[in-house]
Amino acid sequence: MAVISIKNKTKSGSLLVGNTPFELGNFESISTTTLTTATASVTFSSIPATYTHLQIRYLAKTSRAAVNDYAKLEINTDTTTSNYRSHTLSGDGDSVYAEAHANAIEIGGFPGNTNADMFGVGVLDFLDYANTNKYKTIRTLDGFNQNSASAGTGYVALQSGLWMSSSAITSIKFTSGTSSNFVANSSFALYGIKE
Amino acid sequence: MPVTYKPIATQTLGSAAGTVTFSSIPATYTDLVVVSNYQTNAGAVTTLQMKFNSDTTANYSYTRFYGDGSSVASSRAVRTDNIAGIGIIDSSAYMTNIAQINNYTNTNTLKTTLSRTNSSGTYLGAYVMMWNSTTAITSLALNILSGSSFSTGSTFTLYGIKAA
Repeated sequence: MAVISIKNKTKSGSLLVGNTPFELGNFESISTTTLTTATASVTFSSIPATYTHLQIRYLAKTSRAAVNDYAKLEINTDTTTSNYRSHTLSGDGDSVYAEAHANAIEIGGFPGNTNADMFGVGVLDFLDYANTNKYKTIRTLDGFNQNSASAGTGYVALQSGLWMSSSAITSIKFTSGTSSNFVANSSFALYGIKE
Repeated sequence: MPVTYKPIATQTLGSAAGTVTFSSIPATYTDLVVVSNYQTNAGAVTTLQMKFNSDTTANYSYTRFYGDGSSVASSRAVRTDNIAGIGIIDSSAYMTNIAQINNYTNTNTLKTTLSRTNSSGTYLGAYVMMWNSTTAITSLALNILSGSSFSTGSTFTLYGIKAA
């Protein structure tokens, strides 16, 4: 059953069986970048502080001549690597891995360019991104699959990232971890979620 | 700005069903999200599948990792296995799966689905599944690898997300 608040002009729903599907009424598209040529980095800048959370959804790969690659995040043009940390729980079809990355937020769900039309996908959540009283934490679900039993051709991960700054996030930059390019048809979409 | 995350269709099973299908999916969104809350009569550990555009041929492969409360593991299936795995099914009362299908109408890329799978009893895990086709997705069907049925009361909702 949906609940409509006249006072607050909001509508909410429940996930309980039989109820009206929950509707994220305040999930809005902010900006999208779809590449038509190979590009070294993708940046969302001038991100408004008017949302509570951000989400980035991507479909992408890099030009690296290998089955896999990864991306690094840079926030607010902060190049001080000691301000970044990340952790990964991942599987590649053979084993499960737990990793820590000092000095970077690494996102692993990016294949290289050994298969032309196989892309990786990911969903990144930036929670409470404009709160100036806390460091910023990011969570992701990302991966790629290249229909192969060879090592490294499949990857799925849950990852978390930390930017040790209390500044509101106003820009987010993706670069390849191996200094490769993101290839044409890669797409990154930024959304804002309001309470 | 316009609201961009909308329910397209939902199904609540009034009787047991072997397959749940969403057809005539509009091409007007950028990504799809499928939220499933289901119970089955499988009775044993098996796999939740998602197949697209009525394609039941060997065009699917997946990589996954999962934990059962005491250990973790990772495994894969390639196209010749013909398993479109997006989740683990066990004998739990209800299980939840949220599947993300990014850029489902992009005809330049093969289609990749990310999913989180949770059972109320034993398993949780993550899957990445590829459909080896550049065709835009216009329908999707959920079923159980073992041939079992989804139970009465299971719910399935398809959402669309539209990028600017």
